[in-house]
Amino acid sequence: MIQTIYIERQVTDHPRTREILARFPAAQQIGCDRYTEIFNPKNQNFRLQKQQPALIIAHKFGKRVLSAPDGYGVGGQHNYYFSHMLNCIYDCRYCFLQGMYRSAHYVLFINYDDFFESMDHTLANHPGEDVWFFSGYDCDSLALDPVTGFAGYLLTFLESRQRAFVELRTKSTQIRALLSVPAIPNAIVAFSLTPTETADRFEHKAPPISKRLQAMRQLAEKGWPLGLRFDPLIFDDAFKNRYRSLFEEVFSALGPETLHSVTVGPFRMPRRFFRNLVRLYPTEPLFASPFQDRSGLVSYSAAKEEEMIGFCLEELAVYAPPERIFSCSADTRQHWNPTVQTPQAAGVPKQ
Amino acid sequence: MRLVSALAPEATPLIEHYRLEKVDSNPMFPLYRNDTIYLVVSGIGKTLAAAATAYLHTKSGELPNQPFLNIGIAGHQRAITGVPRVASRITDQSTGQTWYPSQINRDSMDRSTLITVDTVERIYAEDAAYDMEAAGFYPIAWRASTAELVQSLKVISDHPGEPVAGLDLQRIEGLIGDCIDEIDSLVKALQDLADIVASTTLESDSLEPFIERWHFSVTQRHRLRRVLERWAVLGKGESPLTSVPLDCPSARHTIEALENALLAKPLNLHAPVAPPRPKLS
Repeated sequence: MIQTIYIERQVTDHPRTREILARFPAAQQIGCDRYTEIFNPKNQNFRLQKQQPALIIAHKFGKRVLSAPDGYGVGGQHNYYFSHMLNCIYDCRYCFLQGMYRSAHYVLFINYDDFFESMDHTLANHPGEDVWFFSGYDCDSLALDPVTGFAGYLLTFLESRQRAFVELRTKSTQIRALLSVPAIPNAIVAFSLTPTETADRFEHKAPPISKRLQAMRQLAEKGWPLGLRFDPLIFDDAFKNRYRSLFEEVFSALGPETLHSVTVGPFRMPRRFFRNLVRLYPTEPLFASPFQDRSGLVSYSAAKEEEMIGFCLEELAVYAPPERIFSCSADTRQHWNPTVQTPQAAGVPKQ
Repeated sequence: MRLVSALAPEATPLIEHYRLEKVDSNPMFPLYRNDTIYLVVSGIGKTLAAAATAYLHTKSGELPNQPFLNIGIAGHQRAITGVPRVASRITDQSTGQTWYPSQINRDSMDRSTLITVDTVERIYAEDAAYDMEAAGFYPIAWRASTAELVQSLKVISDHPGEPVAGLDLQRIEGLIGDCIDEIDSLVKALQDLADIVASTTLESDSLEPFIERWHFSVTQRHRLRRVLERWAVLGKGESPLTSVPLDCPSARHTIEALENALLAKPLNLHAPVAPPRPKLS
């Protein structure tokens, strides 16, 4: 439950601000000039704030649609991302947002229309071509949707723009906005999945895997294209058994025809973010894993990554057609084909 | 816990409640303490409050991540006297600078904007509390700790219908004393948060036995520190020195030996996390 809401004065009277405030009548409201006054200062403790994050309602200035990191994508040529929110209601121990931001408060940029206008400009820069927009980079795309209502506005925007493809990346079961409208082919709902024990251990406050699969089945029945994101892959001594079981569980619930894409990507994180995570959780065994610093990116060794990705790709090939499987690592990102592999660079998505 | 009050009558109920004893040695500011709590009496105004907060931090050992609480009286446009208000926003009226104390403690106490003024407020123009210290206390305490552990609590002492001129020292002491339960509740909540930070501090093995034996460059010391941190988590009480051959030729080989020994250890991320072990000499 949100107990404190900061509101930029510029958006105090915005209709969506009023709607959100009406949902939390008991919340303390605090006015501010810019969200950065609360979000950006030094000497904040992300871990303590995660106990009771506040919501900050703000206006997004400047560039709203940004180029995705090299190689970040699922087969598209032109890849961008946007963040109508910063931070996430879940508390996944491996999440890079803990290392990237000083504050755990949720920032919601309420000027959705400006995001859509920026997407239109981006589409205009690629006439006649498909353009991909990733929305789950700095937040979970759907987890706070009952409050923000963003997905509904986005889907309306996408209906008339067939060249615009959006990935909604989520661990959430908040799919009401999707189930209430006819499916469209250019919105892919991509679920992040880890083995059940891993999710239980590291993905605090997130729905269990069984609930996510249930949500996916509901979406599939309505015709929504689905993505599977086995990212981050997390190694321990039982890695193979855990992931083999996960794949069995997932594909006993979902047919391959429901899948738009499947990606696998081992744990990887910029060095600075990783150091911040270790400071927040110094006794966490995950962060004592056999990682290496590879040109500023903390990840498993190349050999270990190859072993992990190789195992998963072999297992996944049993269930899904190879042209829908993609992999990424600290060094390479490739559309997986057992005989032809095209190395590219890698991005770090919200995991 | 570090407490900052402006006036002796604001401090007196706290000194009595927490059984604080005066620290002798002719201090710059009156300083009191028990085993866990320090209190400084700053005098009136934000400059003195800032100086006293820095003094308190220094005199209490400059420990990181300590809770800081500013306790005092404040005027208010509308609030009735005698109620405590925790600051949700602190503004320095003379500079316009504003701070937003963390609101992760959600107790039953009301919140209020707090405006720090340079002279006694008699107009109460805004729907806010008015004091003379918080804008001096807050930025210094924040610099010494982390934002979530720094708060300001004011007991409303005056308003347009009950002006400040009617206050005397006894009344001030009574106002603070009557809110001692609420103050104590906030003190405990802040201490609980500080304990969370403290409980996750990892004590890894000392670098000294390694540095005495091999020459480590600055970069290699960083790597050694990190591998020893990992060792503290995964080593299960075993000394890292036992994994380094006595005839290990160099710092680089030493680090590699430690890393290889860690690689050979079982990695079960799903086992319950053991509490951090005590520091080894």
